[in-house]
Amino acid sequence: MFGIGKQREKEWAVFEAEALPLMPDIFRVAKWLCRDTEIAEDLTQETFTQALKSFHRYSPETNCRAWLITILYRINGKRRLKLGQLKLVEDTEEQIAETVAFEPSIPDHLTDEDILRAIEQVPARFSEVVLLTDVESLSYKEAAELLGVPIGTVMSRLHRGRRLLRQELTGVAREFGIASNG
Amino acid sequence: MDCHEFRRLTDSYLNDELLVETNHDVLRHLENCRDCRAQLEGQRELRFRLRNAVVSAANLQIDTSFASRLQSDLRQTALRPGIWEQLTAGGFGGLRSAALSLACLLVIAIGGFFILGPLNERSAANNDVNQRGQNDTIVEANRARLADAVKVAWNELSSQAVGDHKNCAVKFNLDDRPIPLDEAVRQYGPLNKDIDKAVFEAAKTAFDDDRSAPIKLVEAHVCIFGGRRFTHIVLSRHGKVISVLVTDTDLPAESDSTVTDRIYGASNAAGFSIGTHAIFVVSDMEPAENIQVARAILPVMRRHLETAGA
Repeated sequence: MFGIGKQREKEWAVFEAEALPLMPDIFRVAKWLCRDTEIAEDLTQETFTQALKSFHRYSPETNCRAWLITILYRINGKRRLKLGQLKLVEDTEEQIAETVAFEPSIPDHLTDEDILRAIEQVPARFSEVVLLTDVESLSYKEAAELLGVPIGTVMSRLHRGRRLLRQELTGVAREFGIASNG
Repeated sequence: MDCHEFRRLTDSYLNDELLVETNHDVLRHLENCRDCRAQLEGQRELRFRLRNAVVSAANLQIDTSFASRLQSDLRQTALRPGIWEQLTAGGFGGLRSAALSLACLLVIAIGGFFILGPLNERSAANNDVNQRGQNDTIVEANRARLADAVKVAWNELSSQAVGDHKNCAVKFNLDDRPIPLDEAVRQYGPLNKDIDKAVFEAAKTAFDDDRSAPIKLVEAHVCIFGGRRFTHIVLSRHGKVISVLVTDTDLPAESDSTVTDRIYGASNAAGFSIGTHAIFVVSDMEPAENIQVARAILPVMRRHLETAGA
């Protein structure tokens, strides 16, 4: 039917404009999650295939990136469950400390590689919140929904993740004899 | 607000998660506290550096052939008619009429087989239908290929704009001397007349709700990068350079007057087209801010181009 065909083209045009430009970002998150190119490609493919099927559920005024990352996390969760890799972690992280220490600024002359190495040293549950909010620009609420944790937990993990990253970077700087400017 | 409270709120301030009133308290505190300003700058810098490092990490980049293959598969899936649609194709309205039409077809087919005519006539009709179906598929495939080609060319144009932004506005590393706008009006026509003022006034409105960091007009000229000529308006905000680049194109737009956004390492390019012109806003700002500027200048650019007869 002509009407349905037009409707399909219209839906595809919206999907193409909103979702497809985010493919490199979704792949990046997938690769970060599984550290394997082939698996990351499978995850990306499955994410976009599912997103296309359920695109009628996506509301245009919401964050498409967050929606796609949520689908990706769900698919990756199932994959890990199958492999027996998924463990329930007891949430024991502290609330943001009442007394927050002054943090020195990051040392100069660190390269992108130093920063990537440092973030990899940060435990996954902290680094993933840093990446979701600071790199993928998700809001606290979006990150909390995606991870299935309260917003307060996102805030404390983010705070701790950033602090650990800073500590790692200070360590890298010391290792290479780079002076801190802070 | 004191330093202790500010430090407790730094993460949320950086992530733009505070209420407007609290934000104002933070800004007031920052105006008077050099230590907290320094700490905030450090945290902002770390956030910026981390984003850059991850976004441009070579091992986290998608393989372009995989991406285009997946895109093409998705397109096929999305546009393929469902079985029901195939059944009802040709103007039938609903379940009943489709069932009726199927029954009619069956009667005609059986009647044709037993009574009306030779088998080869029916076969010729079928061939005709098949041929039409094949033609439709070819037309559809060609349309898809054309759309993909336009997308690739538009991407190329957008990455040239990013190259011009980096080499001209950031590194001052162009082979040819930029041409001042006055001279460009004489050489290349009225498009360049007062384009800087029009863009600047429109870009200012993009951040109407945050007057703490006004946008500034740095300079405007015409420059050439990668063999392509750009009218280049350089703005700045929060110490970040923002390039508005206008160039000719005979490409049909991805979608006319719709702002599309792409990320190139640390830089974002928000682009749109008006008639035979492609306009890009390139900067290291957050993608949303970049798009905000592009949306603010779009109607002004349309008027400017109309007035210039370009």
